[in-house]
Amino acid sequence: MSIDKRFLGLYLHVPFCEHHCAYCDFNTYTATLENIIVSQTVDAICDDLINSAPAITPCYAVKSIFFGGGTPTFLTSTQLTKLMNTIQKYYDVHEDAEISAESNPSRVDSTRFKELILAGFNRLSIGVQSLDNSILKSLDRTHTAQEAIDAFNSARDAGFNNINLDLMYRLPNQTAELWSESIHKALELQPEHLSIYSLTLEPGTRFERMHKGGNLPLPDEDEEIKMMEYAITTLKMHGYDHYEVSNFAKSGYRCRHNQIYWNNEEYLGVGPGAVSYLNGRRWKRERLPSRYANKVFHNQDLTVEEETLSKLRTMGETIILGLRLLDGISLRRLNERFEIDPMEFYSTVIKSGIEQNLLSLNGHILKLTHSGLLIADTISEQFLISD
Amino acid sequence: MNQDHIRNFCIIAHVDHGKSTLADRLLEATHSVDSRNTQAQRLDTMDLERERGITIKMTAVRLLYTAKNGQNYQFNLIDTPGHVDFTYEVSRSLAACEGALLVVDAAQGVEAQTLANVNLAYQNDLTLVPVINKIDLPSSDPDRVKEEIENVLALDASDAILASAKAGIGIEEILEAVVHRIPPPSGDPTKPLRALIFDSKFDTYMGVVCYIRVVDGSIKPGQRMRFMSNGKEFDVIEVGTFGPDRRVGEAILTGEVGYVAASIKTIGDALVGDTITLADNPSNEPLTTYREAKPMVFCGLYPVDGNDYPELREALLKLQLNDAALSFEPETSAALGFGYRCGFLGLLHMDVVQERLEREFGLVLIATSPSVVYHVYRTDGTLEKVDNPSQLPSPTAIDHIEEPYVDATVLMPDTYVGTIMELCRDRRGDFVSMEYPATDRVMLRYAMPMGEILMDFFDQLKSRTRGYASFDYEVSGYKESKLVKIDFLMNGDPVDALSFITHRDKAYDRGRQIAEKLKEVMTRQQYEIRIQAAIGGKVIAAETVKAFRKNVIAKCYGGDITRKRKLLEKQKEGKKRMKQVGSVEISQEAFLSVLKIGG
Repeated sequence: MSIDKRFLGLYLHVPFCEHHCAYCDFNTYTATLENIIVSQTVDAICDDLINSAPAITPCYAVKSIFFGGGTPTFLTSTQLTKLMNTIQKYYDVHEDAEISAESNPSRVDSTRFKELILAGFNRLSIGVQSLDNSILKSLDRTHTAQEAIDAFNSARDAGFNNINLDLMYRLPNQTAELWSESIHKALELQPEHLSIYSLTLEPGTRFERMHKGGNLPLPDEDEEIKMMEYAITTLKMHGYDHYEVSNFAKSGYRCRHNQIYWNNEEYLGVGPGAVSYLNGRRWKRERLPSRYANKVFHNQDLTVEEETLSKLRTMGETIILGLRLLDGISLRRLNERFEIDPMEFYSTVIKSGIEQNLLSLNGHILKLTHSGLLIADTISEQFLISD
Repeated sequence: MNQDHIRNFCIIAHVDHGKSTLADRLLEATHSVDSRNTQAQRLDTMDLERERGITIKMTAVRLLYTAKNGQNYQFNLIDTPGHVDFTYEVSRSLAACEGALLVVDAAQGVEAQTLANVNLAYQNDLTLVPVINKIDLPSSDPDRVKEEIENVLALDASDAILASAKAGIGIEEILEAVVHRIPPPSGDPTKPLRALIFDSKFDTYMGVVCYIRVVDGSIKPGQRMRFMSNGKEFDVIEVGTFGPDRRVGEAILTGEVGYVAASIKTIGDALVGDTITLADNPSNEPLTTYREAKPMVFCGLYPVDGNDYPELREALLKLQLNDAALSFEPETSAALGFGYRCGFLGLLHMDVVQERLEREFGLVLIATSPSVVYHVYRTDGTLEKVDNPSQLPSPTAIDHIEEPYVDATVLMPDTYVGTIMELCRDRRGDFVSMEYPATDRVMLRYAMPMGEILMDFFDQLKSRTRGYASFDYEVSGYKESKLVKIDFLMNGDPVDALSFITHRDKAYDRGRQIAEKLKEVMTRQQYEIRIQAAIGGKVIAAETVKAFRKNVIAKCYGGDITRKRKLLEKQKEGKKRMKQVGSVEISQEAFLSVLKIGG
């Protein structure tokens, strides 16, 4: 690896799930493993990786790899290994690279997880969501709390020493008590990392339609905030560092791949619907697996959406992403990166944010205060610039 | 052409009863347009008219028809605006005709608007030819409709023509009826010129173009013409007709319809209803007493972006070129800044103008709630006309207030009588009469304050009768009422643009209803918003909009960034459409909510 190479993150999208949950709006399709489209998509992603490499490998070293979805573990270990080998063969993967896979608690055991480790994965993220069976059911998940716990233990036994659990709050029929139970059960497992998400009603999902029809009894805003505060306090007490709006980690276990996004740094996304951000251009690949595969096999342009923002708008975007990090954002580094003094450019917004105790400025570090964090979007909106 | 072979007529119909389609068929049948090239509904020239299915500005077309008797006839078809707001214009275009085709939908029957227009036709001594349209529809019931025409309109319907403009049925019969049933014009070619202006339009190249009906004498280019109402004189540059395309002619003769262009710069000089005569041989008898179209409904229009204020003025001036009934004056609101107080003939006119300002001129506007003109008698005996609630003098300076009343007519299936009477009563209507013009049909008449009609009366009427009621009104005069002004405060700051005037007995209910409505439509903000309704200094209702406490997207990874940024950009854009009043941001929806108080 030559010294002057830039770093990037590599994201690989597996667009399949056994079951489509009612709240999910990710680019994923239910299929069975035998379906020809699955193997075709895997082949297409391999070709996509190979086709993309010549533009990447001479200039970039890969510092993190993330298999997301969908459900990456929907694929066989052979398929995952094939994908991983393709990456290793055509890309300059840093030897200390963080290599994550998302997984669901169903259809996994320690054999499966050992195979993942053999394939090269060193971090696992399990979509647990809740450790209460009734909540899991109303969330339209197909696994039980026990299966989630078993999945975690199998992963540990297999040798994964960097595991994240996803948990959700503001769920239908969820009470503060049920929420606290889920958190404590998760803490007993001692994962290295926890992602704590408030349920978002995404347009076009079954949950959104149910909500509009008045058929989704969600906790109100006050209860939601209590749940969030409870998670923050409890996880802190157990030694987890709250480092992003929805993410907590033990020391040294922050997700390196996701930090690339929040720092507005570069990444390559392969697979159906994956987004890439290189040289200021952000673009998305064809979403539908069959169309994606077809285009890859015929060497056609995969782009379906793209944008290249002006320097000012990129700076605004960098701030709205960076403010999600509790460490805040360095105005000095922004100044170096964009050659504009943000302190001067945003003086009114920053001043009024500080006056309202929503922002704090410590030296050159600008961050959200605790009350600012709750309304991060309202604040960061003011940093956006239109051309 | 021989005066005996001229027929001047118009078509009277309720919205959607097929007037424009029939006009198209008549144009095609007389080969005035090629049916293959015809754009649907030729006579409605503005996009907005076609979209809304209403005719706002009328047009006159000349058709040449060879009748079954072998003789050639000149038909002048004058299109009339089909809406209550434009009653005065309708009556002027009726005055230019000798007859009218009365089009009634074979399934829907007579509607309130038809009744109002037929009454205008009677006042102008027009011969009416009833046409029952859409007889090809399965739900059509021509016999019932005939009965209704006789009962409601007191018109012999035994020889009504059964037609379907859409299917081309009965068109020839209609053309023959125009020849044989509508009388020719009766003017005198030897008398001094008298021509009625029934419409005028501003054209960038020709200036104001007057649509006229020559009653006596004739007019041709080179003559000096005079408007009888204001004495202003102009040289006639061009005369002609529309067929439907513009055709320059040599003269417009007695009994004929056409246009005159005379380099007239402002539409205010060539007003609908005025009589044109010649300067060197004038008549001294105007055809009708000219009446200025007076705005009845007022509202404030404010640019959301204060920098657009000059553009708003330019746009209003441009619209006024073609719309003498539109009035506007600068006004300032403590809440909304600089804007214009605009006067309209009615609610539809107001809607149309607002929509054109936004659509054609790209302006983003906030409209305050519409108001009628109140006659405020001060304790010192003077009369003040108030069209803006925030300008109402203090109660101690007021002796009494009068408000405009209308005679309202509602026609509906009898099953809805109860709910409509309840609505009219609730809107302070005084019952006048109830008639049964046909089986299952009821006609109600009420005397009602016009201000009550401005508050979603149409919407209520339609929703309570599932769209089966039709409604029309005519302004009848002023009556004393116990009126008070309700003010609204947001976090203690009065929002003058939300103030409205209502009856004392209704004030508490309405203040409370609107405060509730405001609570619903106000966007939650970072701070709590206190909404108060007050009469004088006394708070009569209060609501609180809680501050939002959490606004942060949960997941923001590589694939979410563009979407999240766009979402925030959209939110930011949305805020630009809001008006900052004190510490509170108010959306257009909030201003409109004052109108939507429900039943």
